[in-house]
Amino acid sequence: MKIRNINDVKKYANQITVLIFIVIFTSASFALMSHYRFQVQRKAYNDKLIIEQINNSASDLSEKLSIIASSTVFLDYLRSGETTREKLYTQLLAQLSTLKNPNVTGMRIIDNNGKTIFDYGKHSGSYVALNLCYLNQTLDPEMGFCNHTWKLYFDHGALLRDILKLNNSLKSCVNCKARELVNNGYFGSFPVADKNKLDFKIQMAEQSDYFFYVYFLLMSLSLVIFSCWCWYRLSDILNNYIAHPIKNLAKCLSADEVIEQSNDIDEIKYLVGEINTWKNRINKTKEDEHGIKLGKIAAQLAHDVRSPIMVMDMVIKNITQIPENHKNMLQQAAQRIADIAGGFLVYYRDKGIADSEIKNENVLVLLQAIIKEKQLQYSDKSVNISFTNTVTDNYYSNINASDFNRVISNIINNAAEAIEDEGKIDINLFRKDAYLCLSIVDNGRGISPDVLPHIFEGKSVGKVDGSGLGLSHAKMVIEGWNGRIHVDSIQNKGTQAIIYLPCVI
Amino acid sequence: MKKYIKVLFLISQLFLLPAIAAVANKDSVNILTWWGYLDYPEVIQKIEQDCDVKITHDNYYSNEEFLRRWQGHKEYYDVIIFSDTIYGVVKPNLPDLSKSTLWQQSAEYHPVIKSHYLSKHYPHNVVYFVHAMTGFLWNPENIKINENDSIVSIFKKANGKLVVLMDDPVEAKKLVTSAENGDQLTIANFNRVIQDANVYVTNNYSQIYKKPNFAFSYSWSGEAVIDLMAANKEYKFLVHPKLSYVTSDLLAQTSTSRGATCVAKELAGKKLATEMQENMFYFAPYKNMPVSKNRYYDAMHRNFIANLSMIPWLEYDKSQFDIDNRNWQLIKLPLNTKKT
Repeated sequence: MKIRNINDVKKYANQITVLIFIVIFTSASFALMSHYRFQVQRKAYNDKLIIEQINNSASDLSEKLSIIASSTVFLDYLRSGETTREKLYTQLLAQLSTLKNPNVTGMRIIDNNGKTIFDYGKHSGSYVALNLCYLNQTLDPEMGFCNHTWKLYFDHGALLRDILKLNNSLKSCVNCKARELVNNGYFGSFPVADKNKLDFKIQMAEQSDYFFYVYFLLMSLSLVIFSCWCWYRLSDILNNYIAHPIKNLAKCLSADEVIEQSNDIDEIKYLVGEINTWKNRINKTKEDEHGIKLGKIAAQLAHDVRSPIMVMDMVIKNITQIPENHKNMLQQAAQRIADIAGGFLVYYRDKGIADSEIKNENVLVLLQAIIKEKQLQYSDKSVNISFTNTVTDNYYSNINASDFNRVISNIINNAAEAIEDEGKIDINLFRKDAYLCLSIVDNGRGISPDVLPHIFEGKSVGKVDGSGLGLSHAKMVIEGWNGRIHVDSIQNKGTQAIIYLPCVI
Repeated sequence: MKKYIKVLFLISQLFLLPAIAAVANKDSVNILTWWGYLDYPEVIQKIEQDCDVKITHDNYYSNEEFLRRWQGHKEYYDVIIFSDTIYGVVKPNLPDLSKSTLWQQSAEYHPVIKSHYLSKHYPHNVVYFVHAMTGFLWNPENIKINENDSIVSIFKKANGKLVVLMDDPVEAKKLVTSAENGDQLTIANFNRVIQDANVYVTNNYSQIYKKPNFAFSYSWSGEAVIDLMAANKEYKFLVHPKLSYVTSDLLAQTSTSRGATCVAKELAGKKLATEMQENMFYFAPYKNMPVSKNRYYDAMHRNFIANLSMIPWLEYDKSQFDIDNRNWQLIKLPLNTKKT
C-alpha cells in the first residue's frame, strides 16, 4: 500500500488494528472451537471406546454361548422331553463347561410355557435372558423360531473387573453414565428377552490436554510474532511519515534553515510549504516596518507642509510688486510642492501608515490654529468664519492632533464649499457633560434628505476634490477617540456638524 | 410296648412300600415326534390318565434329525412318529413286535388310505398317524400361482423374493425331478429350478411367513393351515395337479411295555385324531371324520377326501436315500451359509 497522506496512514493503522483484532479474535475463536471440538470428539471417542469394550466383552461371551447353543447336545436337550433331558443332562453340563467364564454364576433354560428345563448354579440379581431362535439347526434371530429362553446369571462385580481389565484407561465411577452390556436389545448375536442390573458405571481415566496446550502455545507464539510485526510496522510508518518529518521541520525552524521538500506525505508537504510562505511574509513584514516608519514621517511632513504652502499661495496672489510671470512661477512651484506633499499623504494613507498616535491635546489651541488658517484660506471668498468659545477650563482631550486638524479642516472645507456666493460658518466650542463639543454651522445649500443618511458611508456627497478624508473617515477617527459626530442639515438652509470629544479629567 | 410299636411301624411300612414304589416307578413313555404334533398338554394329560403313564416327547425338525436321534438312541424311545418317505431307512432298526395289535386301527381307515396301508405291508406295530397334501402356500401381494404353472415358472415368478422349501431330501427330489430336464437331486438341477428366488430350506418357517417379501412356500397342508392362521394374511394354498401329492407320517410302537402299547394305540386312534385335528390340522386316516371348526382345514380336508383317489402318493426308493440325503446336504450348505 502506498502512503501519500495522513488519511492513508490512518487507514493503514486502522487496517492493521482491525487485522490484529481479527487475528486475535480468530485465533481465540479457533482455539476455543478446536478445544471444544477436541473435547467433544474425545468424549465421543471415549464413549465409543467404552461401548466397544463392553460390546467386546459381551461379544466374547456371546461367541462362546453361540458355540454351545449350536451344539447338537444343546439342541437335542432343548427339543427333548423330560426323560431324554435327564439322559442328556451330564452331556449338556460337559458342553457348558467349555464356557469357562467365572462371571457366569448360574443359568436357566425356560421353554415357551415358562417351564424351567435346565437350572444350574447360583442365581443373582444381575442377569440377561436370551431368546434362543433357530432356523433348522442354526441360530437365526431374524428368521428363526424362538422356543426357549436362556437366562444367564452374572457376578456383577467380577464382570465389571473383567471389563476394566480389557483397557487400562477404563475405571469405574459413581456419578458417571451407566453403560449397558445389552446393546440395542442384543447381547452379542442373541436377542434379549429380559435383563436386570447389567449396566456398568465406567469412564475413561482423565487425560491431559497435551495436544491442546501445544496447540495453544503455538497459537500464542504466532500471535506474539504477528503483534510484534504489527508494532514494528506501525512504528516504522509513524516514524517515517510523521515523527521524522516533524523533527526535521523543528530542526530546520530552530536553525532558521531552508526546509527542503521531500517525499513526505501531503500534509507534511503542505506544512513545509506554509511555513516557508510565512517565513517569507515575516521577512517582508520586517522590511515593511522600516517603510512604515519612514512613511509616517513623510505623511506628517506632507500634511504639515500643505497649510503653509496654501498660505504662501494666498500671499503670492496678493503680491503685486513682482511681475505676473514670476508670480505664476511661484504659484506653480507652491502648487507643485503641495501636490508632492499631497501625493505622499495619499500614498501612505492608502497603505494605512499615517500616524495615528493619540495624545492628551489642547483642543482649543489646535482649533484656533485651524480657524486662523481657514480664515486666511477663505479670505478671498465671501465666507465669514467666526469662532465662539464658552469653555473656561480643561480643553484637553485624548486625540491625534494631525487627525484632528485633518477632520476639522475637512468639515470647514465642506461647509465653505456648500456656500455658493457668500455666507458664514459659525464655530462654537462648548462643554456638555464630560464632553468638549465643537459645532460647525454653515448657511450653505445643505444636504438633501436622500443623501443625509448616507453621509458616513464613504460615498461622495457632491464634493470631488480634497484629501479624500471624508465624513466617513472623520466618524471613524472620532469614534477611535471615544467621541462621536452628529450631522444635521436642512436643504437650502444649512448644515450643522457637532463633534463630541471626551474631556480628560 | 415300645417294641410292639416299632414292629407295627415296620409292618405298616412294608404295606406302604409297594404303593410308594408304584408311584415312583410309574411307566414312562418317551416319544420321538415331529415338532408341534404333541405340544398340547391337555391332550397328553388325557392320554396319561387313560394309560396311567407319564408321557414325555422329543421333537425333531427334519428327517435327518429324526434319523440321527433315532439311530443314536433307539433305546430312549417307546413310540416314534416319522415320515413314510424314510420308512425304508427306519425299518431295519424297528423291533419285531409281531404281537402288536396296533395294525387293527387300520380297520377304520378311509378305504383309499386303507388300500395304501395294506399295499405297503407295514409290520403290525406301524400305522398311519396323519396325512397331508403338499402344495404351494402363496402370497397374492407378491406372486400369483395357478394350476397351469410349471415348477420352473413358479420359481421364476418369485424372482428375488422369499421362498421356503421343506427340509426333506425326498420331497425336494420330487420337486426337482418334476421339472422337465431333471431326474436327479443335484446342485445344478436344483439351481436351475429355483433360479433367482431367495430360498430358505426349513420345516419351521413361522417367522419367514411374516416377511413382506414372502412369495410362496412348498409345504404340507397342515403346516399351511397353522401358518395361515399365524400370519393372519390372505394367503392362498394351491394343490397343484402335477406337483402335489399325498404324504404320510407313520406311528411305530418300539417298546412292548404296557404303557407304550396303550399310548401308541391312543395316539393312533380315531378318538384322539378327532380331538387333535382341531389343533394339528393334519388329516386323520380315518373315514367319516367330523367337520372341523377351522374353515381353512375344513376346505382342505374336503379337497383331500374328494381327490384322494386321484392325488398321487409319494413313492420313494429307499436305496436312493443316502445319495439324495448327501446331495441335499450339499445343496443346503450354500443356502444356509448365505442366510447366516
